[in-house]
Amino acid sequence: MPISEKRLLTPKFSHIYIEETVLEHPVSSSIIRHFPDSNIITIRHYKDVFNRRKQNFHLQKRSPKLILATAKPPFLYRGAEVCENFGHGSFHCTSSILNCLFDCEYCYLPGRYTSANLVIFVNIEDILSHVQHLLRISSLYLCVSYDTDLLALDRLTSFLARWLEFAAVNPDLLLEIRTKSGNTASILTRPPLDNCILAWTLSPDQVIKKYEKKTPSLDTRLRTISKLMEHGWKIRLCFDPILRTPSWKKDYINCIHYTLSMLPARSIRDVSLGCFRMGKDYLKRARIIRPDSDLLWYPFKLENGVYTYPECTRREMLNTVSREISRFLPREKIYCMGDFT
Amino acid sequence: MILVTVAMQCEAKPFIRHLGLKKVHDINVFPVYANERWKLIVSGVGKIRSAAAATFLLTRDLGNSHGFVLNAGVCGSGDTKTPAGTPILINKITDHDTGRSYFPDMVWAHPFAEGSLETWSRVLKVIGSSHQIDHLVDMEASGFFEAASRFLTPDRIAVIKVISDHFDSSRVTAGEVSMLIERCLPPVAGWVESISGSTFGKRPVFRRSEEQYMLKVSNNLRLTCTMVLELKSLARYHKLSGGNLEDLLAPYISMEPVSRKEGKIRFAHIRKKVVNP
Repeated sequence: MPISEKRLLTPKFSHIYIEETVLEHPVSSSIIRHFPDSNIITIRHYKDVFNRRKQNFHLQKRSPKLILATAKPPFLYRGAEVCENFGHGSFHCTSSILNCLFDCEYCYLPGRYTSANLVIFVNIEDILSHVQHLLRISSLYLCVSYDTDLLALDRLTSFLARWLEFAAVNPDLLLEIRTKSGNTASILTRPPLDNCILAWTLSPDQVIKKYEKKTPSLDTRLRTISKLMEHGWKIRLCFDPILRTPSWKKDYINCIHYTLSMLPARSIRDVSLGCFRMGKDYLKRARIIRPDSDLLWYPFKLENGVYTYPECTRREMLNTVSREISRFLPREKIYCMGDFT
Repeated sequence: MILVTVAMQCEAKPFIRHLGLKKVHDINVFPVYANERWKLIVSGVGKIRSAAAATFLLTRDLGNSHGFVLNAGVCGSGDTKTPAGTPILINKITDHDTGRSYFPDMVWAHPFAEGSLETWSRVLKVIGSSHQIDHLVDMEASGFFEAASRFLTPDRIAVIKVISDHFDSSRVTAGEVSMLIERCLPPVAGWVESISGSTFGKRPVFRRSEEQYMLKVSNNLRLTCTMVLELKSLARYHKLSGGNLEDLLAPYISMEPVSRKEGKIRFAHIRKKVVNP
């Protein structure tokens, strides 16, 4: 963003909207302490701000505000069809934060929410006790970082530590935390957990520079992963979404070689692959927000309510990428969304 | 275009003077004053009049997505520490009757103090009553905001109120209201000017000539409405990914209009060229 334009905008989190009922919540107090100069505005319900009609997502993304709220049941929802379940029957997601600090052009969040402001549900204890209740009935595969990047916001919320503590005493829970962040502070202070999957989304640097704005570089992500591997964690690598850029083949092959020659195979839990895909309505809204995105305006094919590359294109992309990965890792460690290999 | 709504003529006067606005004589529903860039309407007192005036202006000027609308005027304040004459940028408006709150987007940097405002339907007399008011009170903002947010995104709507009194018994005259607003006007007008023209790098993808090119091709190929939308979408992708739109459509521009069947075949060729260049 040009400096002159930046000067026109209020800084990130210059305003914190907070529901009256969570004014005294310890998580709210702790978050507010990070922003002593912010204006605090009390609200009745987070949707009064977050769900306003006709919001300017593009501008809000450049000057996001924080909304502190209470999560209400249902706290969990079934994992979407477009997400890999890694063979787990009871695949669920939960969101203690809505929206993300990063600005990835392929993200479904602009299609899902009308606002780019961040909502933090401060009552994480209610989500945890609900999960605890469900675990008495059956085991659970739970993704907690789909509608946000939990690690990137952990300095603010410390939610990651809460989930790791919870997973440590609930072995029937299999937790997945997906991220692009370079922040490992709260992970390195505790021993690795078998039932907690730390998953990093990786892309070629060309893709990161053009389509994953405000995210750490590939090198930063790999250094972070290496550090955690040395600490004993087994990491999931996600080449997802794979994007069909003009030089996609060369870029992804180079990226895979670079990544897998740097990371020890024994410390890679598995690899997840998937081509770009987005629900019909989400893509429609995301295109309105980004009318100048060559990525989103690609002539995708609509298949069962989901826009994605045509089948032959997908097959070519997934086969190419999985073939490269299988030079470094056994096939059974490669999960392919769409399963063309 | 920057649109301004005020409730009273004495609030309008400083704007008219400062911005050199001229009365628009062909409008007689509300008093309206304008120059090339600004248009001001005097709504009358009350939230319904304010909503009507905002709707009137925004309906006439709709189509300009970079438009900006401001509700300006005076308000009472329960906070005696903030002196009369202070301009306040409103970050929360609550309608006293319905309890509903409205939130302008606070994305623009500004030099003003901020505050929350409550809109009442009648003149508030605090002296001798049980009301304890510690915020700002006016009679228009909730109606104005409700109406304006039908037309514009909340970052293009602002409410700036100048404190005129602290609900004390002293009566503020029309002349004093004009004077209070006059003093605040240079920073208010300067701020609105600086942000209203900002597009944040959002420029239309197609040039006018390219739009006309697509229209001509759509007519020549007798495309259906759905196909026209698909053509625009394909053209957008083609251009964004570095292709030349005129080269893509050149074979179809100077041809005689063809039958619908032939048009479909040729449209399929365009699609193929874009998907598999």
